[in-house]
Formats: sequence, structure tokens, C-alpha cells
Amino acid sequence: MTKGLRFGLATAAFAAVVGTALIAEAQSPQIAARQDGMKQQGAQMRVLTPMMRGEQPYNMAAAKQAAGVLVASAKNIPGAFGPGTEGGNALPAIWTSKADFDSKAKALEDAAMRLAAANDEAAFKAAFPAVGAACGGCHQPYRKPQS
Amino acid sequence: MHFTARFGWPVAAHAARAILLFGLAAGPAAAQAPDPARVQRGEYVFRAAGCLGCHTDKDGTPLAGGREIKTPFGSFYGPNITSHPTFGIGRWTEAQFRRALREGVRPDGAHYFPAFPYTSFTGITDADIADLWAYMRTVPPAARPNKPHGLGFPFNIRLAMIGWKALFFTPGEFKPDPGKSAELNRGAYLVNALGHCGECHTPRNLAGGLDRSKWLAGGVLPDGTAPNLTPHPETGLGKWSPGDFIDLLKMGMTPDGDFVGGEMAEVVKETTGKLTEDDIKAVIAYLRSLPPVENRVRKPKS
Repeated sequence: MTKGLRFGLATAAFAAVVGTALIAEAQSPQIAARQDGMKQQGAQMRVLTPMMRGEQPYNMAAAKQAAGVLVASAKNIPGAFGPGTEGGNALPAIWTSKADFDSKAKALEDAAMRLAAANDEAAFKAAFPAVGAACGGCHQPYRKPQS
Repeated sequence: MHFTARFGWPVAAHAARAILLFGLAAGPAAAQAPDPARVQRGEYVFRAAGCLGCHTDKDGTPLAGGREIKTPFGSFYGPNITSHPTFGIGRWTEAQFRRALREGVRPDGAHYFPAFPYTSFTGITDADIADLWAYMRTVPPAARPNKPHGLGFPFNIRLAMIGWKALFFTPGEFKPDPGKSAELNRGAYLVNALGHCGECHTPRNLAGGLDRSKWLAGGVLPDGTAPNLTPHPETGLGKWSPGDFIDLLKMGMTPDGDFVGGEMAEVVKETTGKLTEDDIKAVIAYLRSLPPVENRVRKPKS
């Protein structure tokens, strides 16, 4: 075998292995689904924060709708990180501390429930920070740093 | 007051012995209870300086050390800085504490590796160091021995730090710029001296020195990246509104509704989320006043 051919084969083999690994990551339906779920939650936060900041007038219906989506989504979190679905931006600690992880999802559910129950602007503003704290409180131990 | 009377002698004798043993400057510090107002101010300095993270292992006793700090040169382990006399810094004097922060020098004269960010802490004012020291003395002692740093040759040579410091370290207390507002100066002090944001958010050269021409323009870390904080519209935070900054600093939310994870989430929880409204405003004003630097931070493919 010539040097050039050997190098070519090695490169091709390397590309195949790396490529397969990348595709496997991208195609894991559970990971893709939960990432979509997280993006959905982010979208609700983008509805809620302008009202919190006072950049948009408080709209009770919109706030309740967004908070309701968060409640439903939070309920899905424990199941979305089931056995054998390691990967994505999730840290392995989720699967070694699953009970704690699930309790943090419950904290989001409860905080979002209280936000959904707010019937005026003052109650909304009082309930909102706990939702943000629940998001951040779970991302700190269990989400990879952004890169 | 029975206790003070009863234990007055042994404490004094202990202090005297410490002075003899370590050749410390004599002072009444060891026998005095710290002033509560100073301790309270010191706790705020402690939060703003973010000491807790590096000096506390994951789920460990606060400030008893052990946290791994990964660098391209090896792993450092934050030391015990509780008031324990043997394992912590319980026998230190305020002057030794000030020297550690200002000059990066241990009480025994050895040089710290810059994983301890004295390159930033050197700017902390004498007044803040005094308050911080008052607070540190109230931290309960924890009997946890320090873990030796995991550094390979030649990075384990402490003496080499003399050369490193000559190249990359300028000691000195923060001096406000008289041409700038009090708010901007406070922001610069919070970001650059106490917050030591540049230690992660400024790129480093091959020798681990900060590239000051790209101040706060983002850095690459072993486990991720630290974004460009300058107001560059494409590669930095130029498009962020003041509200975006507030949400990030107070609760860790980015403008797309995502929440930061890992180290920055801890920084938000322990430091930026605990700043006063005025200090948050000062940090934002300072960051928005930085010269925009074009620098797209990417993790090198490994």
C-alpha cells in the first residue's frame, strides 16, 4: 500500500467514525425532542419577561397561557431524560442523581403553577422570579456550559 | 464575659507563640472580635468577588477547598480558606491576606499560580480587603487538608511564577478614572477587580497571560467558552438591551429565553444575582462602555 493510499484510507475511516457519531447524536429522537421542549419553554419565557420588565403591558390571558405551557412541559422533563438517553447538552450527573433532577423539574412545575394562578400584575411579578430560579437552579448542575 | 476572662490567657499565649513561630508583626487582631458592620460589608465583598466557587468542592463544606479548576496546564484544586488554624488560613494576619490578594504571594513568600486570580484581585481596595478579612475570620473552621495541584513538568515549578508575573502581572489597587462617572468607575471595579470576569472572558496567550488588547472579548475554557462581553454587534453583546443584561445577571436568562448552565449559572446564583441594584446598573454601564472588539469565540476542534 502506498503512503498516500494509506493516509487516504485512514482519513476516510476516521471521517466515517466521526460522521457516524455526529449523525447518531443528531438523530437521537429523544434528545431532539427534549431540546425542542426546552426551546418551547424558552419561547414562553420570551413571552413572560417583557411583561415582567414592564416593556409590554401585563396581559393576564397571555401570561396564564405561557405559564400553563411551562407547567405541562415541566411535567414531561423527568420522562424526557430517561435511561439510555444520555447526550446533547445534558450532563451525565442527571442520570446519577435522577431523584434530585426530577425534584428540580417538579420545582419548575410548582413555580409555573403558581405563576399560572396569578390573577393580577402584582401577583404575576411576585411569582415570576421563582420560575427563573427553577430554570437556572437546574441548569447549574445539569446542563453543559454553552459553547 | 466569663468566657473571655477564662480564655483570655490561652488565646494571648497562643498569639504570642504564633508571633514567635512565624515572625508575624505583633498586633491585637487575634484577640478581638470582628466589628459586625465590617463583617457585613465583608460578606458583600466576598459575594462580589465570587470566592465561594473555586474554594468549595461540589457539594462540599463551604470554603474548605477541593474544587477542581481545569486549565491547559493541568488541574488546580482550590485550597481551604476557612479559619482552621492548620488546614485553613486561621493563623494568617490581615497583612498576609492583603499581600496574597494584592501581590499573589503566600505568607511563606512563595508565589501563587495565577489560577488564583490575583491578576484581578490586586485591584481590590485596602478598605474592601479589610472588610473581607473581617468576614473571613467568621467562617467556621473545617479540618480538610488541601489537595495538591495536578500539574505536569514544567508548569509545576512555582519559581517560574516570578518570570510569569514580571511578564503578565501589574500589582496595584484600582484607581478610579477621574474622567469617568462614579458609576462607570464602580462598574469597572466590580467587573475587573472583584468580579474577575476577565479571567474567563478575556482570551489568553500560550503562556496563560491575559491578552489585554482583547479585554473581555471572550475566552476559550477547557469545558466550553466564555462569550465576548464587549458591545460588538455581531460577535459581542452589542444588541443586548439593559433589560437583557439585568435578566442575565439576576437570573441567568439569555435573550432567547435560555438559561446559562455550569460555572456561569453558579456565578449568577452566588455573585451577580446578589449584587445591589446600583451595582448591577454600574456593571451594565461599564460593559456597555467598553470598546467593541470583534472576536467570535469558538471552541477549537479537538
